[in-house]
Order: sequence, then C-alpha cells, then structure tokens
Amino acid sequence: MTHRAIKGYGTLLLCVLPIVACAGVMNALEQATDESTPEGKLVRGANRLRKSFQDLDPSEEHFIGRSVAAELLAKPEYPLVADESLNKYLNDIGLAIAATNDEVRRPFLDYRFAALDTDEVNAFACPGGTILVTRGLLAKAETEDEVAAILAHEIAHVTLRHGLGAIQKANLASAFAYLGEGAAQATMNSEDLAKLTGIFDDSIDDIVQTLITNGYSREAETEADALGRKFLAGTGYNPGALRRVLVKMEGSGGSGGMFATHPAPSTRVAALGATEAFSGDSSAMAARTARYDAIFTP
Amino acid sequence: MRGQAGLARLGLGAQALAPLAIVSLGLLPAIALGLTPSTFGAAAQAKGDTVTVTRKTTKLRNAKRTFAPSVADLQEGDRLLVDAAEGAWFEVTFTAPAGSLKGFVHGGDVSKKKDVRLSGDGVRENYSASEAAAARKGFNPDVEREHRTNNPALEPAFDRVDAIQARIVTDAELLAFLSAGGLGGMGGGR
Repeated sequence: MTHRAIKGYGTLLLCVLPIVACAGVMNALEQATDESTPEGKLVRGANRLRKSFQDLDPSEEHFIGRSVAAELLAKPEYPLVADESLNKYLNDIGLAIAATNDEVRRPFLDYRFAALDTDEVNAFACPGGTILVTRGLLAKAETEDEVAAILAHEIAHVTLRHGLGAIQKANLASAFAYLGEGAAQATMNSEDLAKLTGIFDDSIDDIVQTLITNGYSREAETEADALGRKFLAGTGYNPGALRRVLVKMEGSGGSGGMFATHPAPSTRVAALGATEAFSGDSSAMAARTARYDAIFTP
Repeated sequence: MRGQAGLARLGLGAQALAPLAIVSLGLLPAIALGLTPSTFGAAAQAKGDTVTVTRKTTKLRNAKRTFAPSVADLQEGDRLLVDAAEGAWFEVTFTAPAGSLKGFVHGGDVSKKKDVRLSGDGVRENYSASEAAAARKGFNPDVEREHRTNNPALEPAFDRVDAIQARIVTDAELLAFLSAGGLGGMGGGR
C-alpha cells in the first residue's frame, strides 16, 4: 500500500470514528463490509480501538492493580502487618462480602486483603481487587460488622472501577490508539512493548497519585459508601456499621491519610441519609463478637 | 465533504447511518449512568451466544448458586455456549476435552466481547495464532515484566504482592465462616 493510500485511509478513519463512536454502529459497519477488503480491514481495526477505562478487560485490570499495589508496598511508610490471623480474618470477611453479592465485580483473580502496619487512617483499593487497609483505620472499628463496612466500601471502589477511572484520559487514549494501530500486526515487537510499558507506567502513576494524594471525587466516595452499605446488607452484616465507623472517625479527628483524600466523615454520614433498620440474630452477633475479640482484643 | 466521501467509499452514506446513530444515541443515558453492558447482567445474553471466561479460573457449577457443587474447572479463555440467561447467571455448555458439559457460570466471570484481552497464561482454547496475538495486545504479563525490568527497586514489593495474592481460601472455609457468623442467609440478620 502506498504512503498516499495509507494517508487516505487514515483520513477516512478520522472521519469515521467521531460519527460512529458507538459500538452498535461499529458492529453494523463491520457487518456491512468485507473482511478481505482494505475498507473492511480498516473498520475492523477501528473497532478494536477502545475508548475508556470501561473497555479495559479483567486481566489488564489485574496487571495494572498489581503494579499499583507494588508501588504502595514499596513505600517505607506502608509495611505489611505480619499477623497471619488478622490477615486471614480480613480475607474471610472480604471474601464473604464478595461471595454473597452478585453485584460485586468479579476480578481476574479473587479479592485479597492485607493490613498495613501504620497508624495512618487509610485504605487502598487497587484495581483487580487487592485491598490494603491500615491498622490505624481498623482501630476505628469495634465490631466485625464495622471491619466489614471498611472492606465493603473498598470492594465498592473496585466494583465501580474508580481506580481505573483515575488514569488520565490522555494516557488511556495513547494506549488504546497504540494498541489499535498494532492490532493489524501479528505480534507486538520490542518497540511496541517499550512504548506500551511507558504508557502503563504513566497510568500506574496516575492511580497511585490519586490513591495517596488527590483522592477520588466526593461523588465517587458517596457512590462507594452507598454501594458498600448495600453489600453489607447483602451479606447479612448490619448496614448501619459504615455510619458508625464514620461517626467514630469524625469524633476522633485526625489529619493526613483518609482525612486528606476523602470528604469529611460528617459529609459522608449526611450523604448516607436515614439510619438503617437492622434486626440481627443475637446468637449470630455473639459469634461475630467472639471472633472479632479473638483477633483484636489483647 | 471528505467525511461523506469516506463513508461513500464504504457504501454507507449518511442516510444509511442515521437509524444506527439514533439507536446508539439512545444508549447514551445508560452510558452516562455508568451502566455498561456488564452492568445489565446475564440477561443481555441470548441463547446461542458464545462467551469467553475472563477470570484466571472459575467453576462451572451444577446450579446457579455461588457455592453449588462444581461440574468442571474453567480457565481464562475457555469459550462457553450460552443456553439460557437467568438473573446474574448463564446456563452454558462447555466443550471440555472429555466431552460436553452443561452447567452454570456467573455472568461476571465471562465476556461476550469477541476481542477480549487475555493474559495468555494457562489459556487452553485452540486459538489461532492471530487470535492469540490479538488477545494479548493489552496490559499483559509482558508489560509487567518490562515495567519490573525498568524498575528493579520494586522487586521486593512485587514479592509482597505475590504473597498477598497467593492466599487460598476454599469454598468450604468460606462457607464455614459465613455459617458460624450467621451470614449469607445462614441465620444472620437481614
């Protein structure tokens, strides 16, 4: 194909894309063209151009999340808690929430939870379902239901894909455009890999920056609170436990960590609206109290 | 206009596209609300569709329940024929090496996309070379390896991530935890 012809098809692509930005139209175009023709190949290449973080597939989300988690765990201020019983307890609670709510996003691997050994009040939901929660935040919880509330809020962030949403649109557009261009080639060569890795690095930075410094939007936190509360109820935990944790955070005050990246606890409590009705089974509550105490009471 | 000329070359003028554009624009409110196709659940699938497993592993179960007994282990890339969609679950046929198996899979474990990106590790489907290459054109293990090569100081942290992700919690352990705490409809307060 001559350079002029390539340029012509490139112009055609630029003309087609804005008009046919919806997947349904792109699929119709694919059906209307012959795969063996240059036009057909062009449409099929354009069809592979993805547009937003919503188009990232679970395996891609997994690899992004692994690198985000590694960046966090590489920071000296975030060592892992070595207490196996605590980490097992967090995984039992978190996986119980994930297993009992159909709306929970199902990641490439399963959710995994780990405690960070710091007084800072914070938690990090990495894309793909690795969730890190600090000892300082866990100290705000006084029951298993309240620990569950903290984890349910973070699972909601993963489900709503807020971490991926933190990737700058320009970085994502670069990645998708590059992968779209390369889709016509049989394999990704070393130059492709280097360029894609550069975009990957920038995307990781975007997410880590948001998790540690900027925080999600107030709307995102409100969404995660509402969905987290729904998850609690779906599992059988007291949905009012989230409100109780937030009230304790408000009462104890603090700075940095979650206090810097999240809306004020009082704002979040107000957004939750009316208090939640709950009539827990007393023997079940006693069982949960006993296992909470076994982990957290010295 | 150059755009119209381009569409004409595809045999698709503005008139041909108009109904499609209207249909697609009708989806915009749903997209604005964050309702992606996966949000609609399994019901969006039709009988006869093929879906691809997008989790590293999952189970084909004998009923549409999370802890229903397993019929077969499924792996990333396995293709399943949809027999019916029921709530968040699909009733599917899986053509295993030993023969066809019927069962249920959660809608969140599969994708209907034809060009879904896969990690490529452990994929056992008989993908053609071009299909396999296309499926790996995304953020995949090669990209992570390159990222780690460029950032060797992260290696100890990646070891910690590996350790966190290596934890195994079985269905039996989780069921026991739920039951003991009166959760998941097992006597807990709802």
